Amino acid sequence: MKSIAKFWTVFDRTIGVMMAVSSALVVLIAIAVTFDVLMRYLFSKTYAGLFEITEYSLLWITFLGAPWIMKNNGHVRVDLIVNKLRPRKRALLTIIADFISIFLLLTMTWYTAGLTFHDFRTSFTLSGILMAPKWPIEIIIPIGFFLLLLQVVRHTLYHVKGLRTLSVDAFDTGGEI
Amino acid sequence: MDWPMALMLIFGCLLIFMATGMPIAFAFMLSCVIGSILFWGGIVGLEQLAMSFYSSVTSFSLLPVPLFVLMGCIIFESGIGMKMVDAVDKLLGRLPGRLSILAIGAGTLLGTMVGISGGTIAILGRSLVPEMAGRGYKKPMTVGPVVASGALAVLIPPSALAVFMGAIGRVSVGKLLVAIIVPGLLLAGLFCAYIIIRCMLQPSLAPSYKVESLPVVTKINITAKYILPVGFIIFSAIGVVFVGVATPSEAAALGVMACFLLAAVYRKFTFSMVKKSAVGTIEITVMVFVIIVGSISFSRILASSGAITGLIDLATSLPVPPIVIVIATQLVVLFLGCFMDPASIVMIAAPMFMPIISALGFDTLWYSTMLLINIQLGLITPPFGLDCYTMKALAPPDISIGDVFRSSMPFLGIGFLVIGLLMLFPQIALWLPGIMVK
Amino acid sequence: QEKDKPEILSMVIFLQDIPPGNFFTHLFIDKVREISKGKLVIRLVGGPEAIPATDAPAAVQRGSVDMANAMVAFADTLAPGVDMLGRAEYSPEELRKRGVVKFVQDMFAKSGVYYLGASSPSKPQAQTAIYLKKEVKTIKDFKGLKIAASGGSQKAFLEGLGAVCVPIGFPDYFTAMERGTVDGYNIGIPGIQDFGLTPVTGYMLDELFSSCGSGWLINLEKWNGLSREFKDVLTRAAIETEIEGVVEWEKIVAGVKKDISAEGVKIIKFSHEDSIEFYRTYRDRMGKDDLERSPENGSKLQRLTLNPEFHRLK
Ligand code: NA
Ligand code: NA
Repeated sequence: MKSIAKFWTVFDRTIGVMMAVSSALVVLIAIAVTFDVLMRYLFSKTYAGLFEITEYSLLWITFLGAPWIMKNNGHVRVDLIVNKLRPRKRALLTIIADFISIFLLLTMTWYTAGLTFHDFRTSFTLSGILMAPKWPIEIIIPIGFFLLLLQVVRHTLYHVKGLRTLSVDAFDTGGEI
Repeated sequence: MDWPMALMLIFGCLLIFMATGMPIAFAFMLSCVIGSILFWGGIVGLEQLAMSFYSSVTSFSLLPVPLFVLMGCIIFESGIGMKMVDAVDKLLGRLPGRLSILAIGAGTLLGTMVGISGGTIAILGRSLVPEMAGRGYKKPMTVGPVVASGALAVLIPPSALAVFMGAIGRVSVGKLLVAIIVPGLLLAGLFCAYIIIRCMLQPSLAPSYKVESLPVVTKINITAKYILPVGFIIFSAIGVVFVGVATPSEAAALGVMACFLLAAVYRKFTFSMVKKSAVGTIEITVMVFVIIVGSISFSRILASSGAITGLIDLATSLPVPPIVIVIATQLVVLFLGCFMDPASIVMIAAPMFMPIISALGFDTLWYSTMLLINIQLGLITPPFGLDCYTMKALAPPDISIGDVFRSSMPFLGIGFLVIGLLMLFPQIALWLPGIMVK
Repeated sequence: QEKDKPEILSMVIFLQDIPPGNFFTHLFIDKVREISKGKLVIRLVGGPEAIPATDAPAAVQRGSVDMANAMVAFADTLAPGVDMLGRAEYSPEELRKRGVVKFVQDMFAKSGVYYLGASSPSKPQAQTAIYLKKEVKTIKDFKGLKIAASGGSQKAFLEGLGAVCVPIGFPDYFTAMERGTVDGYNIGIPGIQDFGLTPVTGYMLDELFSSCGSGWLINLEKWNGLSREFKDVLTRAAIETEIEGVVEWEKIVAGVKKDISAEGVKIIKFSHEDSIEFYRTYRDRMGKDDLERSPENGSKLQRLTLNPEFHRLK
C-alpha cells in the first residue's frame, strides 16, 4: 500500500513538472515570436527556424499538459445524459466509460510509441529548414498518452471503490482526487 | 461499405461515446480508431491515425489560440479587466445588458484582427465572463454573447477562412472579403438588439443597479485611465497587422507583450501573476487542443470514407427547383457542421458545390457568403461545437457544456436568420462589393 | 462474375480536386481506365482533407491507401535525395531515358514503395515563380526583400538573392501581402490562384525555376501483386501523362498569366544577363544545399539530372 502511495506521489510530481514546462513554453513562444517579428520589421533579419520550432512546441504544450488536466478533471465532457441518470446507473455508466477509455489509451500509447520507434529506426526527417529528426519531437505523444492512461486507471480504481460503497460523492466530483 | 452505412456507423459511434460522459477528445479518438480500421486499410490504419495526431496540432495557424488565452488571462489576473468593466459600467449607465453588448462590441473589434474564432472567445471568455458573473449577469447573457462574438471573427476581414473558401471555391477572394462585412455587421447589430430586448423583458438576466450620473470630466478621466489602455492592447495587436509588422498568426504574440507592458504600468507585473496566467492558459489550451487532435483526425477519416461525397451527391442531384438545391446544400453543411471542423468542411464542400451553384445560374459570391456563415455556425451547434467547448474550458466550473450550448442557441438562431435574409435579399452581400470592387 | 469486376486502386492527391491543379490526376486516371479497357480503375479517395500531403507517402508505404499523387519533398525519408528532382534540367521524358526513373525506383524500393513517374510534368525549370508587391528591375532589387516561402522552401536560393526567407503558413499569405508584412512570395505558378492571391499581388517575375516535384507512388506489395498486364497499363499511363502533361502545363501557365494580367498583375522579366545570374544563383545555391542534405545519393542524382548544356545557363 505504501509503495503504491509513493508511486502516485512521484506520478503527481512528474505531471506537475510537465505542466510547469508547458506553461513556461507558451510564454517563451510569445517572447520569441515577438522578438522575431520586431527583428524582421526593423532590421530585415529573421530566424527562419522559429516557425518550425513554434509548431513543434504546440504539440509539446498539448501533450505535456494533458495528464495534469486529466487529473484535475479538466477535459470537456458532455454531461447532459449522464446527469439525468439515477446514481447507481450513472456510476455504472461512468465505469464503463472508464474501461473504454483505458482500452483507447492503451491502443494509442502502443501505436504512437510504435510510430515513434519506427521513425527513430528509419531516421525520419521532417521536411523544412531545420531538417529535424521526427522522433524526439513526437515522442511526447506516447509519453502523454501513457500518463493519461495511468491517470484514467487511477480514476477507475476510485470509481470502482465508490461503486462498492455506493458513495455518490465519488461521481459528483467526476473523481477528482 | 456504402456511404449511408458508413455515415451512420461513424456518427453513431461518436454520439454514443460522447453520451457516456467520457472526455469529448476520447470520444473523437475512439471513433477515429474504428474509422481508421475501416477506411485506412485495416489495422495499419491505426499507424496512420498515430501519424495524423502529430500533424493535427503542429500548425502555426493554431498559435493565436494559446496566445489569446494568455492575453485574456493576463488581463484577468492583473485586474485590468475588472477596472475596465467598472469603467464601462459607469460610462454606459443604464443601457440594458451593457456588458453583454460590450462583449459583442469587443468581439467585433477583435474580429478585425483575428482570423479564427477561437481567439476572440479565448480572450473575452477569460477576461470578461468572470467579471460579468460577479456582477450578477446570468449565463444567457455572459457565455452566450461571448460565444456569439466568435462568429464575428471570420466575418470581418482579415479572415483566414474566407480567404481559404474563396481560393478553393474559385470565388474572388477580394470580393468575398468585402461581401462578408455587411452580413457580419448585421449579425453584430442583431446580436445587440436581441440582448437589449431580452434584458428589457427579463431584467434579472443582467441586473441594472443604480448608477450615479457622472460629470463629463470624471467620464473623460475614467476613459483615459481604464478604457484607453485596453484600447492600446487591442490596437497594438490589430495595428501590427495593419501596418504590416506581423501576420495575423503572429500578432497575438505582440498582444501578449502589450498586456505584460500594461500590467507593468499598473504595477501588477509580478512573477506570481505571470505564473498564474501561464498555468491558466495551458489548462484551456490543452483542453481545446486535445479535442482538436481527435476532431481533425475524425474529419480526415470522414473525408476518406466517401460518405460525405455520397451525401453531397444526393443533395445536389435532387429533382427539385434550383433554390431548393441551394437550401439542401446549406442543410448538408449545417449537418456536417455538427461533427466536423470548418476548414475540413470548406475543403470538401466548396469545390463540390460551387460548380453546381454556378451551373444553376446563381451568384457564387452570394452563395459562398451564406456558406461561410453556415460553416461558422457549425462551431456552436451541438454535439461538436468547438467554440462552445472552448467557452466551457474557459468558463467557471459551475457552467456546464449544456449551459453553453443553451445560452448560444438564440444567437445561433439569429445566425440562421441572417442566412435566411441573405437568401431573400442577396444585396446584403452583393451591394458592398458592387460599389467597392470593380 | 468475379472476373468482370475491375481491379480497384485507391489514391490520394496532395492538392484539392479542383482545376487546374487536378488536371494531371484525371488525365492519368482516365488513361488507366482507357488502356485497361475498364479492367483497372483508380478510385480517388480525396485530397489533403483526407490524408495531409505530409502524411501521404507514409500512407502509401504502410498501405492505408494503394497509391498517391504525392509531393516528393515529403518522401525524402523514404528515398533520401528524391526532393532533388525539383532541380532537374531535363524534361520528365528525358529523365526517364537517362535512367533517373529507374534510379528513383531503386531508392523507393528499399522503403516498400514503387515510383511510377512524374505527376505534374513540365519542361525543366518552369514551375515556380516569385510574385511581388512592387516591381524589381534588376536582380539587385531583391536585396532585403522579404519573401514568404511556406516551409522555408528555396531558402538557400532566396538568401542567395539577398532576400529574406519568411517561412509563414499559407493562411497568412493574403493578409501578409495585403498589409506589406512580406514583399513577395514564392509559389508554384498556379498557386497565385489556388490561394486567391491575385488581388494582393502586383507583379509576377517571369523568371521561372524548379521542375516537377511530385510523383505517382504505389505500395510495393500492391504493385508486386498486380498482373504483368496491369503493371504495363500503369507504366504506359504514367509515360503518356508525362509526355502530354508537358504541353498541358504550358497551357495552364498561359491561362494563369492571362487571368492575372486581366486582374492587373504585371508580368515582368529580367534582362538577359540578370536572367542568367538569377537562374545560376538558384542552381548553385540549391545544388549546394542538396548535397549537404543528401550526401549519399546527392552527387549521383546531380550527375543524372543536371544538364551542363542547359539553355538557361547561356
Ligand atoms: Na477577422
Ligand atoms: Na457543430
